[in-house]
Formats: sequence, structure tokens, C-alpha cells
Amino acid sequence: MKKKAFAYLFVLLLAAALFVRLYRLDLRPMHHDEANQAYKFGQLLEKGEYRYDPADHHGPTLYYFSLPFAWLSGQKTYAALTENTLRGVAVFFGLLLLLVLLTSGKYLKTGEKSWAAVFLGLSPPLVYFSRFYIQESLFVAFGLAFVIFLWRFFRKPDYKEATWLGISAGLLYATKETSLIVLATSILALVVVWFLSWGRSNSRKRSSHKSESKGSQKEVLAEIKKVALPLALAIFLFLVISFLFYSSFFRHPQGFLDSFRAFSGYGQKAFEPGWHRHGFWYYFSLLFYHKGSGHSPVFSEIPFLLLALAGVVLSFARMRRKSAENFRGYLALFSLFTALVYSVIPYKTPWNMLIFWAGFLILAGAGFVYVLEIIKIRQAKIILAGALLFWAGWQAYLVNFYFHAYPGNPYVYAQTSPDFLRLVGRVEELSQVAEEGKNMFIRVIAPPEETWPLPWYLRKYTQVGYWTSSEQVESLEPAEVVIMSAGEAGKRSEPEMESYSTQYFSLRPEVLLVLAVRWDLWESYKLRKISSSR
Amino acid sequence: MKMPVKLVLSAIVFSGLLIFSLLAAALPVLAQEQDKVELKIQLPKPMFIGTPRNIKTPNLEAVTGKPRGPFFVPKGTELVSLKKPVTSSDPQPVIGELSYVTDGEKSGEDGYFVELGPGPQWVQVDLKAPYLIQAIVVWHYHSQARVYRDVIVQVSEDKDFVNGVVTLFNNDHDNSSGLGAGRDKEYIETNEGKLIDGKGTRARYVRLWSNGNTANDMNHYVEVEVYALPVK
Repeated sequence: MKKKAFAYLFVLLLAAALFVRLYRLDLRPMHHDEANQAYKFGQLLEKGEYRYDPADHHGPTLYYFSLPFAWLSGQKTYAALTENTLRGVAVFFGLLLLLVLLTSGKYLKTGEKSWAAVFLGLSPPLVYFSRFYIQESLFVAFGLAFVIFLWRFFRKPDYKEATWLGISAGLLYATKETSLIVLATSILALVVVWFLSWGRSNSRKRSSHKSESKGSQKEVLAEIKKVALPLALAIFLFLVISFLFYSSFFRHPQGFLDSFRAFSGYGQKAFEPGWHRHGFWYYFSLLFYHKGSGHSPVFSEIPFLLLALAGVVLSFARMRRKSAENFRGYLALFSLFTALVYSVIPYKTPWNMLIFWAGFLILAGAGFVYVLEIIKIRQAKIILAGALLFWAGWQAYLVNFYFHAYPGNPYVYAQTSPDFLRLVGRVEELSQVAEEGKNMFIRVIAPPEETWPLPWYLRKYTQVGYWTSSEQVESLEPAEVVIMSAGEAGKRSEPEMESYSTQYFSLRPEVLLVLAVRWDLWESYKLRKISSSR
Repeated sequence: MKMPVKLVLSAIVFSGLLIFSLLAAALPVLAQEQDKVELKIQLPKPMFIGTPRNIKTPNLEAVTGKPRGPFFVPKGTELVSLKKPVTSSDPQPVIGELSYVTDGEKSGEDGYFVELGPGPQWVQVDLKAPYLIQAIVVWHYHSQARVYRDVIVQVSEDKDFVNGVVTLFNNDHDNSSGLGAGRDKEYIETNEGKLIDGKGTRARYVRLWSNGNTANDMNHYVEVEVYALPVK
């Protein structure tokens, strides 16, 4: 494919990827984690405050990179923020992932890059989490950048490549401390590939030029010397960038050390995951085949799994003496090692698989190019490519737009129910009736896991109080609106509850909230509803 | 100190009269109660074990986690809805068939419920003859803790529900279904179903409304049972 044609095609792909990521970006109710991250960002936006928390929330890049999006949208406070602004950050980095693919340069054929870009651009889980305000789309973009730049540095260890390597490593680490897994598996993959290609190269050399072994040792030493300084630059940049972010740009230097201290906490969480514990095959079972109850459609990435498998097999089969040609083998090993590590760790959430799934999708691109090469009939190629695109598009539609928040979707995880938006809508309607409007007194009584994402949805109300248990609240009065977890509502006395009209709403599947509205406000609300319906 | 004999005698006579009057008043009621028997409902296997939420509020029903108490119906009351024809506001259900509503299968598993479209929808059971309805038990969907909104149960002898409509249950607190605001309680679905007192209302048709639920916008029915006495 000619360069110009590839450029046009790539722009077209970017436009398609942007469309599926941006279309109805606020469709899905905010997830517990998104709302939590939004609140953290709100503090940075309003007060310029950010301090790394080694216990939770991961690294700071998400918050700092959200700032320009809020500024450009003219949103200066937490209350002014919107879902589109926040999720726009994830969309941006989801697209950056496609651009990162281009940095693989000559190590992938143009056709391989094109198909890999199609698969990355339309992949249902990648699209889903590119519309999700958590660290994951940044993590995958920086992670893949690091994997590619590590290879480029390995091939050409100069200062330019070292700079890119250091920057990508720093950003990756500043996004999630747990990126150590990616750093380790990519280095391990590189070592294995080097060993395999060096072994092949050496066995040939041994058979033909046994006398040259001393010379090659000298060459290795010279190589090491050549690499040392650029490598030091890469490490320096990694440390500087990590320090800048974790120290909140010098305000809290302790944050940088805390990021290392966090390993023990995250390590404990990884092996004592509570209800996030899933079996070894969890990630592949989500990708392989998933069907919800009733007439739910089938969700499956089988075509891409098969193509990725073809890509992996080909990469190993074509492992060359010349390591320049072994990028695919390196990528295959990285994806396999990373998938293995994440599968062994009992703590699992669907978004953790994205980093290795992105690697496999690039290999699927390589696998598909090979399949197209062996098919000789042009029409068959077109039909196959069309069928694959149709399947990818159909699955992306189902996952992201039709079953965006329903448990039948394999990537929906502890997602806020659409019914929750009815509660939010009801509170909004009540505020229009209440004398105090948005200043009406709202109590929220629920444990933290049943509170979020309320602080996001109630961000425009000025008088909202949060209590984690009913015992902390002597009387529900004078609150006009009380939102309680069903458990906490059960602790209130009957006479007290008689002052309120109550209704159930779903927070998540199996988790119900109780909305209690003081009778005087409820009666006014009903009157208003009756008069407006006439 | 001597007790005035007249006062003691008067007290005895008065007490005797009082006891006699109370007994006389209670006897018909007792006799009536003796004619009543406990309604036996075959319950499906529970599909989830939810934490009991004993919410004491005027319009949310408490979930105690204990079996429902006995419900008494007149002797001779029988299940009259089994295999009876069912119609609906959504004649082409998304999942299942309308006949599931009265097929006697109450399992909470997939394949036993009918799914009607979103928004206010009804199913109607034709009992084929007028009965004195004693109890209606409805299972919307019981494999998950969810609440169906705006549940309204009406009975009538008019199949179009224009004349002689009696509303037995209505928890549409804000009149969003447009059939009038009700004051009955919202409740969480369980394998026990929701038992509604028929109060001996004479009717041939039973119509049940709902308006989505807390898990999605759809309306579901696993089973509806109508217990009634034949009209003599």
C-alpha cells in the first residue's frame, strides 16, 4: 500500500474510531469508580489540590490530563463538569492508542498496521473502556507506547529512542503503579526474544566461524557501552516524570515514595480480592463467549481470538536470526506473559485485560494479513473482510449502545443501573417544587459502596449531607429528601418514616436504594404533576 | 366494713350481661372464621437469598426473610385461573408466551416468564365465568431482588374494563400510569409472590398492570393465580 493511500485510510479509521467513542458519550450512567475519579478531579480543578493516595485511586495522570479538557469546555468547578468532558479524556487516549500503533514503523507491515488499527478502533471492550472515566485508556496507550519504544530502543539504542522510552515509561508508571507488571513482562519478552534470536545466530556462527567467538564477546561489550548512557537517560526521564506527577509537581514530594509503598497494599488486594476474585480463565471466558439470560445476544470475540492465535503462531514460526524481524514475536511474548500474570492474580476486573488484549489485536492484524495472503480469490477476501468488519461493528454496537449498562454485557461490571437515573430525575423534579430549590436539604445515609455515584449526580445541590450509617443520624428531619441504602432504611423507626413517602430505586443489580420524600414536598410534587398533565 | 349486697349483686349481673353480649356478638364471627381455611399456595424454589430489609415505612413493604403469614379464605375456594386464556396490552411478548402466565409453572429460571415491552403494560386473565375472588397471587420475576413499579390489580365483569372496575391493589404513588394514585406499598419480588386480597369481589376478568422495574424497563410475569369461589 502506498504511503498516501495508507495516510488517507488511517485518517478514515481515526474518524470512525472517534465516532464510535463519542456517540452518545453520556448514555451510560456514571459508574461508581468514574464518579469517584470525577470527585478527585473536581478537587484538583477547583482548589488545585491533589495528593497521591497510596491506598486507592491509582496514579495522577488522569486528573492532570483532564485539566485541559475542563478548561477548554469552560468548566471551572466540580459542579460545572459534565460526563462528556470527563469521558472525553478517555476518548482522546483511546484514539492516541491508534496513533501509538504508527510508532511501530518498519517493524510492522502497512497492511498489518491497517488491520490492527481497524481492530483496535472497533474492538468492543476497547471502545467500552475508552468511554469510561478511569485510568484504563491512558494506561493502554502509554503501555503499548512503552512496549513499542522498548523494542525500538533495543534495535537502535540512541538518545532519541531513549527519550521516548523514558517518557512512555514515566507516563505509564504515573498512570498506575501496577504498571510494574507491564514493565516487567515487556522486558522479559525482550530478553526471551533476544535470547532466541541470539541462540539461533550463535548456533549458525558456531558451526561456520568457531574462531570468531572472542571477537563477538568484544562486540557485546562495545554494545553495552554504547547503550549505557542512552539507557541512563531513559531511566532519568522515567524517574523525573514519575516524580513530577506523584509529587503533585513538587507540592508533595512524599507522593513519589508513597507510590512505591503502595505496592504492598496493591499486592495484598491482588491476592485477597474479596468479591473481585475470579478464576484463571476469567478474561478469556469474557472474550470467548458470553450470553446473558433470556434472549440476550451472544457476545464473542472468537474471530479476533482465532486471528490473534494465527498471529502468535506465525510470529514464533517466523522467528528470525535477524532480531529486526522479531517484533511480532516480542509482541506475542509480551501479550502472553501479561495475560498469564493477570490471569494468575485472583483480583480481576474486565478493564485489566485491555493491555494484553490490545497486544493480541495487533497480532490479529498480522494474522489476518497472512490469511488474506493465502486466499487467492479476490471476492473471497472481500467477503471475509466484510464479514469481520460486520461482526466487529455489530458487537461494538451491542456492547456500547444497546446493552451498555445491562449485566448480560460481559464488560458491564458493578455498573450503576439505568433505573438510578430515575432517582436522579425524581430528585431534580422535587427540587423544582421545593421552596429552596437546589438548596433543599438532602440526607444520604448509606455505606460507601452504596453511596457512589450519588456525589457526582448531586454535585449541583448545595445542602447535601452524607452519613455512612443510620446510627449517626438522630432524626431524618428536617431533611426534605433522604436517600438511604435499604439496609440503613430498615433501621429507622416506623413513626419517623411515616413522615416520608418512600420509593425503591435500583443502584446496581441486587442493590436497592430508598428515596424518602417528606410528605409536604411529596404532596406539592403530586399537585404540580397533576396540574402540568392537564 | 360490710360490702353493700345490692352493689355486689349489681356488679355481678352487669358483668354477666357484658360477657353474654360480647359472646353473642363474637359468635357469628367465630362461626364465620370456622368456615374459613388457610389458603395453600405452592411456592417455587427461591432463586436468591437476599438480606432481609425490614423497612418500616408507610409505602414500602417490609421484607422479613420469614415465610408469609397464613391467609384465610372461605371453604370451597379453589384455583380458578389455571390454563385460562390470557390477553395483554403487548400481544407479541419480547420473550415467552402469554400462556406462561397461567400455566402453573412458577420457577424463577429462564424459560418460565413472559416479557412484555417497556412502559405501562397489562395482562388480563379471563376466568371464563364470574367468581367471587378471594385472593390473587402474582409472581413477576423472582430470580433477582427487584421491584416492579406501579403495580395495579383490577377486576371486573367487563372485559374492556370500562364498567364495574374494582381496584384491589395500587402502588402507583404518583399516578404515573394514569389510573389514579394508589396508597399500597411497593415490594421486593420473592419466590412467595405478592398476595392480594380479593375481598370476595365478583368478577370474571383480572387485569394486572405494571410499569417496568428497578432492573430494566420491561414487564415480566412468571405466574398469576386467582383463587375464588364459584357464584351460586
